[in-house]
Amino acid sequence: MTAVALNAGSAVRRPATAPVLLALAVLAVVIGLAGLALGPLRTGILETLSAFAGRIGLAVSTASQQQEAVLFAIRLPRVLLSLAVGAALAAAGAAMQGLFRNPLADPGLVGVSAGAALAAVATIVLGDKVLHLLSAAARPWALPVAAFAGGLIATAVVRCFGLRDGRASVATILLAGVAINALCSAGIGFLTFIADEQQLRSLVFWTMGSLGAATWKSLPLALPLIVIPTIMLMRDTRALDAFALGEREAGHLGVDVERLKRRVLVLVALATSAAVSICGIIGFVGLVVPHLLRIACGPGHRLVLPGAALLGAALLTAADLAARLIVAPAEMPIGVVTALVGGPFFLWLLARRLRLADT
Amino acid sequence: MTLAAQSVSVRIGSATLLDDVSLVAQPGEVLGLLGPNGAGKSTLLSVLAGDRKPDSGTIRLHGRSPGAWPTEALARVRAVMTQSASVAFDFTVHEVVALARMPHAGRTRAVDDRHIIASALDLADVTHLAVRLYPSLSGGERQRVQAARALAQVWTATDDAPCRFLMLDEPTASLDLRHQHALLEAVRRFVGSGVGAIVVLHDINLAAAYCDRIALLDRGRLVACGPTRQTLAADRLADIYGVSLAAIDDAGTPHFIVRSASQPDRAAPAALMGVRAQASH
Repeated sequence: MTAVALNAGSAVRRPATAPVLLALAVLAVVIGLAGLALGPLRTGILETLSAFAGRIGLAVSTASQQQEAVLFAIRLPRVLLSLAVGAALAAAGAAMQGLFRNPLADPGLVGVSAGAALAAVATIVLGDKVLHLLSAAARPWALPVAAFAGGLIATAVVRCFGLRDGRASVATILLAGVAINALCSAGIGFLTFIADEQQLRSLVFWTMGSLGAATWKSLPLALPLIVIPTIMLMRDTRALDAFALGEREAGHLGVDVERLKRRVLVLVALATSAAVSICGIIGFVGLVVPHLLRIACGPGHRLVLPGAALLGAALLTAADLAARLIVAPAEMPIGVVTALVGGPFFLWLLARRLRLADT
Repeated sequence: MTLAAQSVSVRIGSATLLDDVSLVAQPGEVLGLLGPNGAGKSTLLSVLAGDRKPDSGTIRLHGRSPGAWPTEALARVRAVMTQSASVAFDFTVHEVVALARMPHAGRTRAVDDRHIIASALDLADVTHLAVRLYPSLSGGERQRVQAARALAQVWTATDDAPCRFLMLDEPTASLDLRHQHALLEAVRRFVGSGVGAIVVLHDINLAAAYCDRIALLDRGRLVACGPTRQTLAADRLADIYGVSLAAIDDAGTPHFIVRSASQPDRAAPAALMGVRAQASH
């Protein structure tokens, strides 16, 4: 499946884990800085750095007041969110692929994204009738909270169907996920049908994803919900390696298989729901990023999981930068950018799989 | 010091896969599980391994049921090689075998783990494949890698239990003649170090050559269990497998040859027998 598989007889060399992760971390930081510095209002890298140094009292900022305002009020929360969401989606994708022993798995498979989308669209279309009951301060929270809950509920339903005698059947979970996805898109279709013009516009934009919702108000709640489950996934790297041998075989190696499946599903559902609830649907990050790492560095999860988180953070931040720059001062929905790059890449992977299966 | 099954039965729906099976496996010996397809060999192995709980009866590994063992401690005292040889993703052979040391993490030194992995690769004759990608291997090569992994998992004694068990489900199924014998030879040497091996085999002659004791299963029941020479009797095997057999003495080891593929009283329908009788005239 990877480049090395093409000449089956050749020796395979794996890069060392620590230098790769360090390089990816540096990449994420550099792209993060670029995300801060670039935009309709340019701020040089030096000015950006000096503004930060100024904030913590290390140096005198050379950035103008306007630059500082844009930097700290708008770009910093946005870059932080894109780093966190990119890391969460990519790590969740890598974990799901390990759990399902399938390189084409994706967090959306268990209904997280569809459930969140249905709840979000329902809030947009039907929310007017309920939202006036909420206080003005609570109203902006209605959509993300509903989407977060929707993602978790959909995953819980899928998992319930997959459970038999206390054991979760991965194949049944997959099939139940397909059904829940279909059901949710039917619901979204119906809500789209009855939505008025204004609602239609906002629900379409929501389903295409945007990091524009990043503010200092939303971040303190969203960031921990996205980042903590992502970090907790890193504990399961060895167990996921053993899972590649098969569920039963992983059990023989001392992996508590049922506990692992429960943990990974819960963590993935939490991280993905939290990410989707604030950013909308951003496709292909969870699919493509782990693939890139496996091709370059091999499938060991000790590198792939944290590596996917770092590379996902870097790539989503770069995609958001592109979304902001391409049609500035307007911005493209980020889901369009990731799908535009991810789609052809995915097709290329499929073509390679077919070609390799023939040989 | 043993792994014992006591009156074990396993049922799925109305089908009885194992019916009141009792046997004991001991360190230092190779126990062969033999029987026709569907006799319950793999089911018995999975019950002994702790994969599934018997519907009635008990399994005792050093006095405790496998379910009562912490999963990691259990993995340090028994290794299982299943018939599944698939590995998702492009792991190398070395990476696959290294997974065997997972339950020992933090208990053995890295240098010892490396030495064990290298020795297991060597014993299963796959050292030359170590840096190859597992999915690029042939069926027989994969099977040898899986055997190496099982060996590496219970290579050394731990403080969890006085001895270890190695369970192999048809380990020679895809192997060429030389590697069939080489693998079972390796298992024989391995049991010398305080390991009990339980091996599902289809080849009666391999079983006769390498097993200390044989458990014969037929349709879920234990037909016979005892020392290889006594248990592998031509008439008993003929009855179970439904073929006519003859035993040749090969320097003290019985060697079985098949006389005809179907025995009158069991497998072949009467009509077919009639046709054959006519043809022989």
